[in-house]
Amino acid sequence: MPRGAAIEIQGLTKRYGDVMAIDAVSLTVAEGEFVTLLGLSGSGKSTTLMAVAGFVDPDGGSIAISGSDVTALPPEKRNLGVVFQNYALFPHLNVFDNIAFPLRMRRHAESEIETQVRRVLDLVSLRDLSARRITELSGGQQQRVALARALVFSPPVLLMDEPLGALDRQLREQLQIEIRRIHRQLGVTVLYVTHDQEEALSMSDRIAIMADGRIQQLGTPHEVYMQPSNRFVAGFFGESNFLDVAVERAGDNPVLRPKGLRDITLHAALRRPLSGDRFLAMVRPEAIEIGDSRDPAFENNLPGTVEQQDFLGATQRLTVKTGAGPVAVRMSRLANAAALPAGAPVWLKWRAGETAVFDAQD
Amino acid sequence: MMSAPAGSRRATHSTATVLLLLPGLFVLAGMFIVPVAQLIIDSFSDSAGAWIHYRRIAVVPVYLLVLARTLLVSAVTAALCLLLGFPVAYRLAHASPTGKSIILLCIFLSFWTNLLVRAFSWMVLLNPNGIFNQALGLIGLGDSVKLVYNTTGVLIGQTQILLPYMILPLAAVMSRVDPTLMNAARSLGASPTRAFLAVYIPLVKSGAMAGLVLVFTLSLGSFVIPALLGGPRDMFLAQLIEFNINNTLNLSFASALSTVLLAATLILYWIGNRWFQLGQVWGGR
Repeated sequence: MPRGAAIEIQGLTKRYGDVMAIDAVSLTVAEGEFVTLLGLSGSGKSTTLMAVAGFVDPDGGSIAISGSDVTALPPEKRNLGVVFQNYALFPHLNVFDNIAFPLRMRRHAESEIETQVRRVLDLVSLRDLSARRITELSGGQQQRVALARALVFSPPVLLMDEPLGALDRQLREQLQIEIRRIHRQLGVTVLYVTHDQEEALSMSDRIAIMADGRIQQLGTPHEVYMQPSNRFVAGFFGESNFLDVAVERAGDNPVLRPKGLRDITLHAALRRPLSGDRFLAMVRPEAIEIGDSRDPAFENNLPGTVEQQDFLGATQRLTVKTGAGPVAVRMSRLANAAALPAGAPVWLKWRAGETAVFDAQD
Repeated sequence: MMSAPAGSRRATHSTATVLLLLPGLFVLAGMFIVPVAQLIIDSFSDSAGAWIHYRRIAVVPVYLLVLARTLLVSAVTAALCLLLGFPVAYRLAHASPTGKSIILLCIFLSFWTNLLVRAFSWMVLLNPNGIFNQALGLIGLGDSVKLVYNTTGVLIGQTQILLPYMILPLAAVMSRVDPTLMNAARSLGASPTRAFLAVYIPLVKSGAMAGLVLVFTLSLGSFVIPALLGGPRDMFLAQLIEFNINNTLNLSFASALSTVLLAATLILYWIGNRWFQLGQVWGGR
């Protein structure tokens, strides 16, 4: 079984005119790891991926695969599987010949090609379509063919540039599951680019959130979701509550005091040092529970009054007015919201581990 | 404002389509289809028998020789246009908007210049005292190479005149090739040359075929260039037709020759259309 290769990107820089497309990006992807570059368009995620693939010639920095420097190698010598955003299937070839293309370029014997193409067609569940024309395939099927073509020559690394961007939501979720299965099955290293945060969270071992050509944070899905290192990263993954705080005691378990509240302290679990003079504490709406009094079982307790209720289908949102500003709370649809009419006094409570704190300037 | 119901709007639409097509249809029928039909009928209406002219074309060697020469020179012209036109079309298709306008301007400048003017210009340039022979004289080849009043002259003239008909359809097909396909081929292990041969060429083949058929069929009917730049042995079928109209006044034999030319053109177009879907190239999509 082919094993994945490590990717080491160091100080990678690319400038287009006055614009820094990527600015000193460094990232190490371990063998067999699934790492996602997540960001908006123009964040530099695709440029980084295309530099690894060999289509973007960097102005500075280096790229190594399996420890050997490939920065100066042309794409065809890098032996990487690439799945392009629009699939880039060859319209003049049928499914079989598209998938056989990399093997033919490597001058494999026809019998070997037959075996390998059948193997990957099985892998992507397209066994019966090998004679089809590309134009006769649905979007999802084209995606599978592109994936099969990128995997048929057993590359140690698979690069995917928004591979599911053109598909509808249901198909996207189905293919996410399938790509993860294939990743596990083959042990190939995957560097994946997307702008869809849910896709990144559900598929990745680690996520690198990119903005302005830089990696804003690199961490596991849990880390980047629950301990974002700045406001941009926090805002990227759905709704969050930001509270202006002063740091009363720094260290591993800092004590924070919300602006405008004398007798309340908040607690966070922090994995990195704090610097700066204005801080924000962040807590996700679904991490907050509601009670009718201070609860010593929780490190954080904040009093407030219910302002508004919104029914959102699977969940309901409660907006609570507190001395530190409005706080959104997500509750299950099954929670008894009727007991919490507007104006009702409540206590908000959450764990220290659910509180992130970062410099407000970042 | 009230909007018309969908059904009646569709009806108005198709009425408008018919009305808009009508003037063109009349011109085409009155000035093309009817005369061509008349020409074909004339070629068969001789007191000596309906097929007499065709029999003569088949039996007397000079006619088939001229036909063969016309076909051969036209085929070589088409091949030369492909050879010279391909790089230009490639540049045109993948140029920046500014580059595109410059290349198109160069193509159309020569395109807009009168055919006779261009033919006479070539006579000036290619004649034994012209600039090319003088240049060749500098390297000691001045007298040995004849560039005009022979097949070389016809090929040079034909190729230059017909080049745009190769470049434009070819560039149209090339500009529709998704550039990421070449990247995909590279990522799959193809060198730039192999990616070009295995992906690009097959994708633009239909454009090349369209250009070849277009240049070839246009060349078949050429008159001015072979008459002015060719020698006595470089007669095209069109010159033979003209000779039969103006010199021997044998109109129905000229009609038969024209019908042969027309048939050759239609057969070639049919072949091109059947095997290379030229209609898609002309139609844009």
